[in-house]
Amino acid sequence: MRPELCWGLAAATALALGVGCAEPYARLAAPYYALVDRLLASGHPWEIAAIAVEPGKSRFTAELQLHGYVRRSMSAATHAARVVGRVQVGEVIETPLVFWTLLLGWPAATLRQRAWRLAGGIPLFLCLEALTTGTQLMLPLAQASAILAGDPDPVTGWDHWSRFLESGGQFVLDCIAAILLAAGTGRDARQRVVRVQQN
Amino acid sequence: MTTTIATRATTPLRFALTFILCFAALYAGFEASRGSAFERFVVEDLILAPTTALIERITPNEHAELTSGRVIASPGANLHVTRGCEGIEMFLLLVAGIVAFPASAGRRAQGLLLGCLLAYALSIARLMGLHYILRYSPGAWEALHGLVLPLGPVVLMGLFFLHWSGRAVHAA
Repeated sequence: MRPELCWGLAAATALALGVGCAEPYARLAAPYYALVDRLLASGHPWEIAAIAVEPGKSRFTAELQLHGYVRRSMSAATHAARVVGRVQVGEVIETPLVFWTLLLGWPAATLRQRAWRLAGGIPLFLCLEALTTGTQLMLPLAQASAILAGDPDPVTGWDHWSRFLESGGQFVLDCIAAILLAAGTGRDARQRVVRVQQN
Repeated sequence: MTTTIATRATTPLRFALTFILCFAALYAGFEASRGSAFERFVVEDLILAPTTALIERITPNEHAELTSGRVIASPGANLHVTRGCEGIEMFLLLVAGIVAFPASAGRRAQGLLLGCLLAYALSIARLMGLHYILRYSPGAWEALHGLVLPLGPVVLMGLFFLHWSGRAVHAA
């Protein structure tokens, strides 16, 4: 079968799975995002109250929402702003769909090679999740801090990162991570074959 | 033998680095042009206006029109086209992929031409799809707007790239 057809079928299956599983996945992953975002918030006057799947602004959407508080400074005792970060559940499942479809669909010479990819893929995937959905949820905290600091129309570094992700950057990161991991594990296998041939 | 393998092994890394750097540069360039006449020409004149005209041609009863603020408006639906919804990322991904992949100049030109035509068609089809979903099947909005319509066209572009790169390798 032609590779384009194989990957097309894999992509169609992944998209169908994503449509059905977006909301359950977002619920399942919410505690991880809460953990990551609390780590990212340390060192900033930000407090993450909760991250959960809630109905969106439109009655037809569900969103992963971050509820948080912003103080004027690290030493301030009271909150100056309450913020809600929102990411649609369809966007939440993009990273797992793209990354795992590419990584698991990439041709492998042996089962062991596939197992190495799986083992290496888990920490890499967790990093990707933190870099993509984790940071997207944090955006309003940074914006609120900038507004409290006197900038009425802030464009922070978090905004630039968020825009990059929304303009295809998330897809690029997911693909590059999967391709590099697949190629890295493939190289070991090829070198082993050469050593066997040389012996 | 070992040298050959080392060279092959660095190829995905080189491709990945070139691809991401090229994509980041193109993205930064387009972001820098936001609000300029060039950006308005690309987004409004080349993408949104033909989309609105095509909706009006296919379904004249929609009375679709492009209003200020980049809204494709009709009595039944107002589609607000925000940053990232215009389909520009497909062109950036295509150019970055073709620049990063080793191929002859002729193959690159062919890939860019055909790929841009495909990206353009997909951009317009996606916006038309979003308009009709919002108008006639808002219940499907979440799944289609959040996942299928942003990712589906990008996947199709990826399959086009796979096809093009396979032919480029074969030709070499």
